[in-house]
Amino acid sequence: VTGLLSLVLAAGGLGCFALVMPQHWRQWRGDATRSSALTLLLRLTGGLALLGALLLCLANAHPSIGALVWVMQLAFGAVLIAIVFAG
Amino acid sequence: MTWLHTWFGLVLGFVLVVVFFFGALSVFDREIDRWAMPATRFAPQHMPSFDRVLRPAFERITTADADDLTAAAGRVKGTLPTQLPLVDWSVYTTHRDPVLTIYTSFSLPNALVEGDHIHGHRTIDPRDGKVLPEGNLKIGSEFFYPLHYSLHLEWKQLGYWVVGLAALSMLAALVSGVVIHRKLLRELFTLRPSMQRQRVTLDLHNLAGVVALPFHFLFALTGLVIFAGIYFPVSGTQLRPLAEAHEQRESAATGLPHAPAGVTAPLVSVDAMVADAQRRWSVRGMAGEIGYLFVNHPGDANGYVSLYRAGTDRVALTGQGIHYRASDGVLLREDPPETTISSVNEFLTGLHLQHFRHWPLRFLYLFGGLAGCACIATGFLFFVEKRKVLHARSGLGGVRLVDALAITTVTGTLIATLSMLVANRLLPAEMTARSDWERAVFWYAWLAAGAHAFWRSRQSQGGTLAPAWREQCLAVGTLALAAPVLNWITTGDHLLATLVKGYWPVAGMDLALLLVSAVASLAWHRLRVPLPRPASATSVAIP
Repeated sequence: VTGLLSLVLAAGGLGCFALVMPQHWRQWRGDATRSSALTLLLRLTGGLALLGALLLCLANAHPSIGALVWVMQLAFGAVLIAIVFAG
Repeated sequence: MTWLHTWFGLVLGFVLVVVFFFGALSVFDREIDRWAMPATRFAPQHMPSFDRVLRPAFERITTADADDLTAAAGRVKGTLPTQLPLVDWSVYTTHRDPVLTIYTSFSLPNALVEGDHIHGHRTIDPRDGKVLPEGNLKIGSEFFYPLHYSLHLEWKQLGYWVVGLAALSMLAALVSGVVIHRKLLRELFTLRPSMQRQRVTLDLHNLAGVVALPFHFLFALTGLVIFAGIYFPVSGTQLRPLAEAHEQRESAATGLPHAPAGVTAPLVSVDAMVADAQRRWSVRGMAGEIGYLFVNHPGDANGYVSLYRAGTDRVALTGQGIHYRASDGVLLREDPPETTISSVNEFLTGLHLQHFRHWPLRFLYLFGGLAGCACIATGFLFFVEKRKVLHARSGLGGVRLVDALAITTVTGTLIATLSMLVANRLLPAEMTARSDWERAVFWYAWLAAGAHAFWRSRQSQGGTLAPAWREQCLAVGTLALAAPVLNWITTGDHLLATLVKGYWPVAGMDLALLLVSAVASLAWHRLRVPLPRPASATSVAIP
């Protein structure tokens, strides 16, 4: 469960960073404008989510393994986000 | 940088697909072994009792393997003695091994290179010490895994050198890819399936390459680190005297005898040493099982026993070595904590060889390996798509060659792998030289796939997709479906039964094969409709 949660956080965090990019924001919200406060919020949420994922990975296994899990979850999460936006 | 990326990637990409694909399979090598060896389908076992199980099994290995003996004949002065001196016994196990492979080393007294030695090995059932028939090939750990790093090209260790060169090219291709991909971060999540075929192929290539970049870089690098001794064999050549002096000094410093005394001595209970080692690890707050057991100079007064803790719960393979005198069980040495350099080396080696117990990470490694295959395969496709119209107009044959080689290394590799699994289930269990037949099926199936790719890639010159892609997808789909069906017929272990029993090594293999069959069949179906021709030969910049 913890592993799944850290994956959701990693993918969610990357999703927030993707939404900061104009092309993905347009894909999601069309022509809706994005305030600078929302951009900041997305960045902050994304950063915290990635940090949360890292902490969960480190807490769930030996740090040497946890760090690897986090890096690989980021890679897998990025593909998931790309597929979501491709759809 | 574009030239470097394109040509390094293209020329050594064919090797890299093989390295990545069989590396990805090797993540589940033990599980593939269970699927291929029905007699070993039982739960993983801890290191068994040395005194009751391992010692009698070691003592029954009185000579080296026939292959080793044949190879050693050319490495000695004169003829090889019939009875070779015993050097050591060793056994290694992980949390995924139901059976054990035990090794005995024999020295070559009249060797051309001092210290040269050969091995005898047996695979045993650790529950009772019974030796398993040697004709059974461990397809995962003895065929796919060595193929990943040596290509089974043993002559002058040629395969290791080719793979090393490919890994080095991979590093160059990754760095140059980052340099030429100007929108690396801006297009990190970009995948546009509705765009033109070339653009989609490039998107996939970039996505697979960039998201798994740390994985690809670290695995190419650690692969080189693991075999650094082969690529820079200085301790056996120019620096040999220094290396020997180091061995002597290390032996003196650690108290672990370097050479046998030549005086016979008994070997006391190793089980008692194991119990003591586990107690000592427990006191350090890291209770664990034995991962590696080594008896140096058995039966000699200088004999000693080394016990290493299995690194199941961390990245390092083994560690925390404790050493005992073999003749009386006295503790000789507890290894001190690792130095920083040693820890880094252990981490880099361990992260590549992944013997830890962490199933989600194992699946993420599989994803990383397959992402590597996808990155290189889409690179091939982009190269071909980019140039096929231009080459067709100019009457050049280069694209057809690349396309045929790409088909051989992508779908052809799958066909060879699946043919081997199908042969494994069809060949009679008691057949003489069964493992040789399995190997032959693999290589000939690959050869046939290559011949088919060259024959049926002619049309790619005309700007359309070569029919060999579609036809080989059909072959993959059929073979991947046949393998689990044959497993059911020959062993009775159908998917439902293994799922109900929770026997995941075989259930997982069957599920993976069915998934491959479904994906290949879908690809075959989708490729039925001719793909639209690229609009122009220069619509997308070549990376």
